[in-house]
Amino acid sequence: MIYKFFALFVFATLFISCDPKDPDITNGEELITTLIYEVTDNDSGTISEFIFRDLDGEDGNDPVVTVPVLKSNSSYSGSIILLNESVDPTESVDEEVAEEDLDHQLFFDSEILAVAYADTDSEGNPIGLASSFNTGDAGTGTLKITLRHKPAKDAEGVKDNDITNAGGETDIEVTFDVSIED
Amino acid sequence: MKPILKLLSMYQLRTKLLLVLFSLPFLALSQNCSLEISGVVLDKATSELVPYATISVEGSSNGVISDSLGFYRITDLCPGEVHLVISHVGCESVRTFVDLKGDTLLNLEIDHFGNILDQVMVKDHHEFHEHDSYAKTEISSSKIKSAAEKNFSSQLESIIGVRLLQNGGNISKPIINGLAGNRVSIMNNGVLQSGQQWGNDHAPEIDPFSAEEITVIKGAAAVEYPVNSIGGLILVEAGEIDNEPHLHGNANYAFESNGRAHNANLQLAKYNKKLAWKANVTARKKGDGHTPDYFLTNTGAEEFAANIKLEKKFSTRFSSDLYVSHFYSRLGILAASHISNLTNLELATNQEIPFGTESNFSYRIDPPSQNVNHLLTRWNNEWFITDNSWFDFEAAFQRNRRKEFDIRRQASANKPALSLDQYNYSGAVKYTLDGDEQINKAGIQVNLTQNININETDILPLIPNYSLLRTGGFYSYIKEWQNWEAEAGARLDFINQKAKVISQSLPREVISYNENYLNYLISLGVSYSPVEQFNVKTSLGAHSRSPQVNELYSNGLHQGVSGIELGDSELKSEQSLKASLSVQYDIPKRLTFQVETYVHYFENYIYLQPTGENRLTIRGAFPVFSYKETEALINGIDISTELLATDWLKWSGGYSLVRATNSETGKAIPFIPTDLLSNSLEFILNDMGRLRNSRVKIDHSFAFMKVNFDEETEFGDVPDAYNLLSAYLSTNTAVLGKELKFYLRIDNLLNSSYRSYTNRLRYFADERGRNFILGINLEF
Repeated sequence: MIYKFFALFVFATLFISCDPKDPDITNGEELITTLIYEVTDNDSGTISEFIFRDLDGEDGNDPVVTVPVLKSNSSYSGSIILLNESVDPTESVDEEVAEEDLDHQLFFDSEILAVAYADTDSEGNPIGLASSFNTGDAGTGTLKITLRHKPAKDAEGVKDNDITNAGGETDIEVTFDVSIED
Repeated sequence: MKPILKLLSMYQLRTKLLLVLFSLPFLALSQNCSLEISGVVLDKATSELVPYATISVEGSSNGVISDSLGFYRITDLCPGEVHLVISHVGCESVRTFVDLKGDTLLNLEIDHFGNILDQVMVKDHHEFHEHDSYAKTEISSSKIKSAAEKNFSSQLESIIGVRLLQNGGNISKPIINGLAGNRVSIMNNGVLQSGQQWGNDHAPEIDPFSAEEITVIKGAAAVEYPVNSIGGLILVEAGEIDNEPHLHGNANYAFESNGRAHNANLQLAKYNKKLAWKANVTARKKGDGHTPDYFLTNTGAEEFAANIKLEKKFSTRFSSDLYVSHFYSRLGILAASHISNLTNLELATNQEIPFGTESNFSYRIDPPSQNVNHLLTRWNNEWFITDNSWFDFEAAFQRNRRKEFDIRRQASANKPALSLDQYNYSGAVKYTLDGDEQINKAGIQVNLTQNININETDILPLIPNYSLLRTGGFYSYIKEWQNWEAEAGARLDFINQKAKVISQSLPREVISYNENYLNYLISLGVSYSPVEQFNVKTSLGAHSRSPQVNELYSNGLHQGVSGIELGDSELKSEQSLKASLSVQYDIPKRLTFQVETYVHYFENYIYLQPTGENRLTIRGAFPVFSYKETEALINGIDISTELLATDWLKWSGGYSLVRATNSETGKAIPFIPTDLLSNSLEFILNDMGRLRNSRVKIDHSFAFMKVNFDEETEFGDVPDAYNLLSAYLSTNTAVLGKELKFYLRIDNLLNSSYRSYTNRLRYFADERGRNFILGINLEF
């Protein structure tokens, strides 16, 4: 019996030299590294982009934010592009959002731009991948874009771009500076 | 007789057969039925004689009552197997087995006084008990059975000075004198419970029913356990198998109205000289809880636990036992608590009814949820060299499998967000020399933990892959001398920790760490009883705890707390010095009064400090917390008292207070429980007909509002003070000679809305409202 026990002891000590297994460096498939709000001037057809890019996710390096200058008193149509650029080839997340339209909604919160939804899910509620807005006079402000996963689309105000009662999980929440010039 | 029995068994029901079996000795008149059993009835705790106890022979009308001095004599017994049932007003019946061959002298023990006053001093001079020089409290299996719906940690909450660190109603872990998590260890049947203990939202994987007794030792006192616990130690013991050759056991069931929970448990045991065994199976199913105003959606739970213990005595010198236990649980977490950034946190905390609350009850468990499997096996051998010296050889294996699910997009909805697999191997040799007035103990222990992340999450792991080898040894000496008892001991542990951590910077690479630590524990405890009613205990312990993997290397977003947690690989071992003083005064059968005070000083106290920085990510801004070390001081007081005002009325009260300060900043350390005042009034009713040992109890507790807290670590307001009332009713009866107990408890009697400071979900939802618990225990 005692011999058996000591055999176990030896068995245990065999592991001493054992290094832990190397972890798998998977960059999450569901990571969203990049949000692009592509806006097109309906008159001139000029395309500008709001870009938020954070390749290492929550870690270390700060995200890179790029903003365009918008033209005053113009009408724009916008579309949201979501990418995972940490994998090769780059993954298009907005396609996934479009497929799961009932479970997603984008919210646009700005004191200078009144963004309106230009798309609907299969139940007639907005998604926000396509949108539109009109700029006013020259000025500056901010635009906060939020993507909620599993929001309560039926809750009060949610259809009208009011996030207050939406709930759900936030997949994206980014804020851009907006400047409108003549 | 045997052929007749066999014949009977062919067409008789088993229960009927048992009845026949028990009555056979009385039918067989030809036998010499003139044997007798006599002796005294003793109180287990005080060793005092118990007068007027009823001793009956199970399955017959034969029975007597002990006389005014406690003596009894049962005559006209036939040879063979006899079960005696000893009962007395106000205590639970005890069953004893006797294989009667001739006239027998037998002293019977009943837990009479101990049953009335829980904290009575154990005055047993024949054997003195280990760890008596330290502040410790036990929870008996009868207490566990009379709250069958409670999980492991909740069972401990009745101890003054023990509180719960909760993550909703299902997930809780004990806080002992203000310390929890990595600082509290659990010895599960002699084996250090090994799992993802670092997580404040990870409950111990133990079924309380598996324990015959749970002992809580406050502070780092007992050196013989291979643990890293600075705060306290919890010993879970399955206990020995009763010397009872028939299959016996008990069945327990409890229903809870809040959550519509079913809790069922079955325990079986059989003693045999060749192989004795006992087994325990528990199953629980629970749905959404309910606050006074709304359902706590997704707070259901499932639990299944089974364990078996085998004992074999190879000779008078050598015995061996094997314990195998498996624990499974699936726990739902209130969806609103998985908030995703600072904006959401603010929204969620200001929400009257949490987001995602459904208007209907459901047993459904959706993400966020946890799935845990824990296997523990322990093989222990006891080898007596002489009558009072022996070796224990022990080998154990554990496997802990944990998966945590978050709300994710469809493509990865079924993938866990955290998936860890841990293997733990341990071995130990212990030598004990048990003299009349002194005990010497020494031993060595080896423990290897291997923790790996399973590659199925598509998320960078929070905790690295690591292996930890601990090799340790101890020596302890316990001495009893006149009115003194002293315990002194020391242990040393050498720890080698290898970790593979993924870098924070891009491109990602694996960084290997290989760290060595030396942990020590030196402890001294002295107990002094100048007179029998009075006892003073004082203890002093110096301890070091090496930093754990989460403190060193954790890196990433911790969903439940909405923060980015950063480990610090440069952390040094935590050092602590604890002094405690405990005074107990008893008036026999009237009063017990106990005060415990302690001062706990820490150097390099490891804690999570908000850095004040908010890190911007695509998901919004998150507060950054990092592990820091500081000088800290924790002190507190626990008071408990019990008064038996009359034979039928008992009052008990308790008060506990903890203060914890970061000495460097002068600020309070977060997640230290609030002060608590508790009171209970218990009425012991007269036996009514067949109803015996009936009790009515009213409990009241008052949790003070947290006064000393650090505003930087608070996301919202600190919860208000609250009162809680609960009522308990229980009675015992016998059906077909089997002991049956019924109880009804109503928790949160006034259906109050309240939030507990140490519940991490307090930012999002109220605690559960009124809850009716109906339970039944059957002994057979």
